[in-house]
Amino acid sequence: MNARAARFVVAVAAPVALVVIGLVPLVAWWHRLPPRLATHFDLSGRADGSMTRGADAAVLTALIVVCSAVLVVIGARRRPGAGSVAAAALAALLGFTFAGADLSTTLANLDHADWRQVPGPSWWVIVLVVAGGIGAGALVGAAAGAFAAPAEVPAPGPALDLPAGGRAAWHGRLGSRWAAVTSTLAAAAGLALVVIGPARWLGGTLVVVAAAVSTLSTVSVTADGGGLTLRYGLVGVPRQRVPIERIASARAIDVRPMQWAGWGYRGSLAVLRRAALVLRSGPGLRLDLRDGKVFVVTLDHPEIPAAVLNHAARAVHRAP
Amino acid sequence: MLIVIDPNDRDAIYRQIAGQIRRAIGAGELAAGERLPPVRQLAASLDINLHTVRQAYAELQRDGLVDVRRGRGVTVMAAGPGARLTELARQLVDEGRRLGLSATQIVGAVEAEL
Repeated sequence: MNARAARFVVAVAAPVALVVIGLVPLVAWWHRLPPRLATHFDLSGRADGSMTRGADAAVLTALIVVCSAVLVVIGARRRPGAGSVAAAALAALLGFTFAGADLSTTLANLDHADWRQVPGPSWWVIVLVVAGGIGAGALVGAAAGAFAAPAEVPAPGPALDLPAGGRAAWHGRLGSRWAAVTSTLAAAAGLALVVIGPARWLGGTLVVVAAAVSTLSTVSVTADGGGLTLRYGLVGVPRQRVPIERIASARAIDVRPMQWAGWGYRGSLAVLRRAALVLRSGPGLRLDLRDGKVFVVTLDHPEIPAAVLNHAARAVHRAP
Repeated sequence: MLIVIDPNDRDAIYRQIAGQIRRAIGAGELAAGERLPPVRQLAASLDINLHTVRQAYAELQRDGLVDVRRGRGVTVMAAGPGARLTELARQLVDEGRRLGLSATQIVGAVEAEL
């Protein structure tokens, strides 16, 4: 999308949508709602928590005002930085999730006299609200990225000096013992719950989460003429590839998890235009892609794969 | 680890690969128990024949430096000081041959240092 449309989405469309989804139904159907709304439900779908209509409206209004303020301010910035793009995405994620949740609560309470009789929302409604929040966050993040400041591209690191026809490949490995331990424990606990325990769905969730975390326990990295390849986990799946045609330059940098708001796989190349695999602080490999995106991986001796990739990138961009 | 091949070098490609891995093991850059990239992966990385990589790994296995196991991949074996010495001896012999020396002359050069 072009910059003007993107700004409109962030500063105007998103805040307006928040109000329409969250506040308008509440206000329009005010008189069809009981004076106390059922706002919390137990696992069996029975209402076990409530709030007055007024309090619910006040909390929702405050949240929408805050999220909208963030979106308007960032949408109006001439050249928001990466932090602002992330803030906008987060504001949209939170705002739309809460507005959606409030809408589902409003609909559930509609035409009931007493909050205790209100049935809880179905599981697919919950899934819809969460998915909607995530989708909105991704859309706003991508929009903000469309008019964000292009990050300054640092000078590329040195390239490997090879004789004509020479080829190089670098193979390395990185891993997180912490991820290995927690994923093993979580998998064991999850399996136990599935086999023995009462909360099978919790056990199933734990196993799925354990599988996801296990992908960070060991990652095999290859830098060669084809680009950068990451093979996650013991099985090597998922496999992430940055083809050499997309790489403008590579260099060794120092990575601080604070720059990426934490540890693990951070960001998203598609949505936020920046991503990083951060498994520790310290030396890392930074790839500047031809379309301005940035990808970082914490690695030992990153200057070597950087040199391999710079040599290969030069060869690719030189050839007709 | 970094592997560089030069198709125009006098040395066959598989010897270049084996030599670099041997050097890395001898220098302690590759520790015992570490996995080398699978044959298919290294061959694709360097854009060379599978057979060439297999030959390199086979030579290293013959020297007792790596263990090639189907399904388990290629693992570096505990390398004693002998590995480094073997690699240095190989380089010495190669250099001697390049200079056109006979076997007796090469051995003589070593004995002179002892």
